[in-house]
Amino acid sequence: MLEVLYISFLAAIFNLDITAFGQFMISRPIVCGPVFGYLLGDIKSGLWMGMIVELLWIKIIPMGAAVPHDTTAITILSMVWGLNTAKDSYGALIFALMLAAPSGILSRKLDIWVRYLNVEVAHWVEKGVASGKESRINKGILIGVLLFFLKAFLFYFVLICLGNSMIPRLYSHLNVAVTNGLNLAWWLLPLTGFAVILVSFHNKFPTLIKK
Amino acid sequence: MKYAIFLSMLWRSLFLQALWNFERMQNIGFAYVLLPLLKKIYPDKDDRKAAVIRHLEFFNTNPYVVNFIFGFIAAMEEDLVKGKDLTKEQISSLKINVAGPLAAIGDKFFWATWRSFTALLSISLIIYFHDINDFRGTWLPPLFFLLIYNILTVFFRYWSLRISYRYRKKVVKLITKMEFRYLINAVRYIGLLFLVFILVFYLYLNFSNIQQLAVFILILLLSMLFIMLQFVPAILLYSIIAICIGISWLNSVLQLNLYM
Repeated sequence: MLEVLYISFLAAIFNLDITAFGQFMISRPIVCGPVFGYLLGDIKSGLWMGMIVELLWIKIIPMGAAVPHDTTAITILSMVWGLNTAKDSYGALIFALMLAAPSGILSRKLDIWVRYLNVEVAHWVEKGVASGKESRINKGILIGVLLFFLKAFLFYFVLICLGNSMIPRLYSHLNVAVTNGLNLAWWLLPLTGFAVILVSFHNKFPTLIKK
Repeated sequence: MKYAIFLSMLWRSLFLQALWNFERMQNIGFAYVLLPLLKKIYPDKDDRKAAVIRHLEFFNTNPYVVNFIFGFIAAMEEDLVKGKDLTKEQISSLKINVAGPLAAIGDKFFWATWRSFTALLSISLIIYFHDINDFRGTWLPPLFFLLIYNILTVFFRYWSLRISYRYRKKVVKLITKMEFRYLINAVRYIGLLFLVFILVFYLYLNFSNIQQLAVFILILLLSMLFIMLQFVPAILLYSIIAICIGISWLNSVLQLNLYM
């Protein structure tokens, strides 16, 4: 339990980098993967997993006011769940990635909810400034960082607890052919990622459907 | 502008999006960054209040290029206090008008191109070093990515705040003249070149028999088809995993000599 708390605390710190502070890109899968792999005892799998997530989700960017899918959550959850299920098993990691992929959408929903909550905080700050309490700007920024942090911390804590208790049981029911297929996917998914980047880097790549 | 205030603004600009909200987006962040300067030029609290409220209006742009705006807004606020020929409306209309196009450039260059490009470079390191067992530099790819990505962004943040404070409105003209399109295309072509190298190297690493190569090429072509059909990443992931399970099932049932 202590380890889960510690991992979710760190994950929440890494999550702050997406919006609230800095954008130094420590929240990218390619950094988060090895870091959390190291914490759980397998850096090389972390690197590979980070690469897969980075490549597949490379086109998802925060354009304008859009809130993107949370690739940090996908990487961290699939590393934590996968290494908790079985050490030295690529199949378990891919299985965890399959289950973690929707968490990016869930995290995005929570992010949107926090940003609506921020409207209330911003109103409080604006009223304060109008009545001469200028220090509310500094407090408002602090509250914003704290809200983003708390959201990420609770999100990771709940999902890691749920996943750690359920995923090993699910994984043990899988057929051998399925686990072999998941193992194969570990080596083939980077190719899909290369295809994604090939299409996204090429400006005039032919598309089958007209936009 | 004193150097202490400059550094303070640079540090605070990292918190620009901390209170990002759906009503006025980065408005509180904007006022937060400008606060050290406003405190300096309006020592009286009541004078300052009006200026702070002026900067609490709607604002949204890309966090990497925002320092361009802070630079000339700081310069214009100082001019306003000195009584030069300038109105408050000019400041806010310039701020709003520059934010949109600047955000478009920043998103397209930093998010869509530079991040993918640096990620691709560090991925080539991962592929290159992955199978060497006694390779000790496992931390090299992420550190390389962080270093290369941040050299440009940190330098850009610092430089844009300086240059835009010094040259004020001329900076707006400078931005419109800059040909980011060519830069983006150049980076993309170098990226494509790297990608081809990585792809060939990856296929070469895994080329132990012809069936295995056939599976790899099949997956590559199928993924390209799915991407052209506009699959979202999660669905793409599930379809490729489903195909892999199918291949493994065929392998075990029909006793084929496929990759395994």
